[in-house]
Amino acid sequence: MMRLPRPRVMVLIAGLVVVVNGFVPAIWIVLTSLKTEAELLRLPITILPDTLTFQNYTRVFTDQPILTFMWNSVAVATLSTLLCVTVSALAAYALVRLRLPAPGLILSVLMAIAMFPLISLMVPLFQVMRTVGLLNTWWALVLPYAVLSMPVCTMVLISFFQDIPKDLESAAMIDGCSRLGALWHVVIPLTAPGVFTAGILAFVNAWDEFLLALTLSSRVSSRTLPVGITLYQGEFSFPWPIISAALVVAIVPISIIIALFQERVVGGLTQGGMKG
Amino acid sequence: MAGVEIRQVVKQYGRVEVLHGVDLSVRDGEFVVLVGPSGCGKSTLLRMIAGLEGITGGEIAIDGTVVNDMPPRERDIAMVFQDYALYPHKSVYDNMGFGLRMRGTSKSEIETLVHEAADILQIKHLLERRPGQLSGGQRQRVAMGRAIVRRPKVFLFDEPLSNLDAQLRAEMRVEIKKLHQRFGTTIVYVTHDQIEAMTLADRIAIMKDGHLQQYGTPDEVYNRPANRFVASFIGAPPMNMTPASVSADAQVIRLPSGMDVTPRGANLAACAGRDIVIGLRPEHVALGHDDPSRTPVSGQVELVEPLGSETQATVRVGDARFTGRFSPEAGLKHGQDVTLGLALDRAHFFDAETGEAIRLAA
Repeated sequence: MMRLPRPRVMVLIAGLVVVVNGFVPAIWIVLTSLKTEAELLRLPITILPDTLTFQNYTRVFTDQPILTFMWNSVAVATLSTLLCVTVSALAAYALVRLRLPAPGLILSVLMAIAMFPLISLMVPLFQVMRTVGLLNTWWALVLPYAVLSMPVCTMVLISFFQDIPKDLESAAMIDGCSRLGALWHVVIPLTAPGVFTAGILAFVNAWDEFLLALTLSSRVSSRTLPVGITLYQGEFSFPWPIISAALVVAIVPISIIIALFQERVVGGLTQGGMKG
Repeated sequence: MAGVEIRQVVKQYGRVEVLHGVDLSVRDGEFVVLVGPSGCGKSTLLRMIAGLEGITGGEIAIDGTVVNDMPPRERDIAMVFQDYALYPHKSVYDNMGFGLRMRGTSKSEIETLVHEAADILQIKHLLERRPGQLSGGQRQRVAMGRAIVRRPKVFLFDEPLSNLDAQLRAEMRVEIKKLHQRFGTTIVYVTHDQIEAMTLADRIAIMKDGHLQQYGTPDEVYNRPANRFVASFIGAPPMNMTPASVSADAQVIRLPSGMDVTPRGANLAACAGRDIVIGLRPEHVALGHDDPSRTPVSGQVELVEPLGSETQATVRVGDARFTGRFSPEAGLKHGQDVTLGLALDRAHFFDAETGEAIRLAA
């Protein structure tokens, strides 16, 4: 048998830990969503459902307006992602290409935003949103989500933009583009994997966020999925199978999006334009 | 077509000045080569003409219009980059047509112009490919195609051949020369290769440390170099440089190690009593002392480099060294004692301190 070099074994073990950590809870949720509540509470615990039931999924759609929650989540996550990626791309480009004074300081300040504990922003954000009349609207979540994801998206895009040779933009500018035109026609297409990576990060952050969504959207009509799912919980009941089914419904769209864009994220487009 | 005027152009990065008031006039349809060692400012100057670098001081005019504050896209120039700078995500056709598309040219016209340019550069069969599927030479042709397809006022070339192997470089040099003859467009071409400069240029601008050293035809810079730097930069193998001092009556040249030489065929009155540097091209160093117009010196062969058609050899004369181009039949051997005939009437004389050329009376 071929002996693996030791570093490779370590990498495999680390990979296994990550996969188990990520997939076991997800699989457990799926299995729970297919069980009856009685089976779930029965001892000994069963791993696979004795009797397969889709009743929980029906209840997900009938007990609460989950489609409204989902639509709100899709809208908020999409808008915040578009806003975040657009601003982050411009910021990253400026930091990489323009001769800005103290770019290091700007980056540090940007990173400091990411360090803020969300809870410390809650009261000021609530007051700002109430003052400008955005409470219970998509924008109450879109704006803070975009800002909160901006540091990490900017950092991701900076690393991708740095790999684009300056001469490609110079060529585009000589060919008739403005600086922004060169960014749009050349840099963005070439950094598509980076743009999609940043986009997915921003989307997932927005899709998963709970605290702000709970605070800034108190009406059922404006709630997003993470908050909406808590509504399945009764005052004296905790219907795990239904909540699990709701979680599966929440996970599916984001899984599809990641699966669709995975190739773009992984694929490299930059070979061949320059020498070597 | 258009001329390019560069007037007292200065470039600073922060407090560092890299171009110190360069003046250069490129005539309409002229092929001018900017040449110099790395860091001399030639590429910076080219990028300033293109509008890719700001101008700290002075003026650049294209076709009579000052373009200091004009963005690159409005200057009607095209540029070929050292690393090709082809758009990797576009096909060859789209690479070539991109500039036209940006200028609102119709699809049918783009097609005609791209095919015409591809025809000239013999890359028609590559139009559907991506840059990543091309060899270095093909990429360089595409880069040139992208430049010529727009028929700009001025072509700018930034060391376009430096990534190619020697054979391909020679081929592409011919292509570029043909393109210039065909279109007659003004070209400003940057290189550090003096052979490229000599073979391509109508006029050569030699730069060093952000200063223009000399601007003239290949013949002028080769045969009448303005200073020691130009003399040693142009020509391969480089000009032999020997420090010497000339007697007060200009009859004797004292070489290093105290060897005295009586010059033949050169009136050194302008150098009388001065410390100088003698510059002598390798082709003006011959074997033997039969020729009465040549000044004989004796030395020992230190290095022999046979090149087939000729043999280059370096002969040590006291502390001085003279490299010459000799016939292979001479059969020079390392360590052999020889007598050289120096054609001092063809030599160049430079002030030892300033390096400036000393012009002799005929």
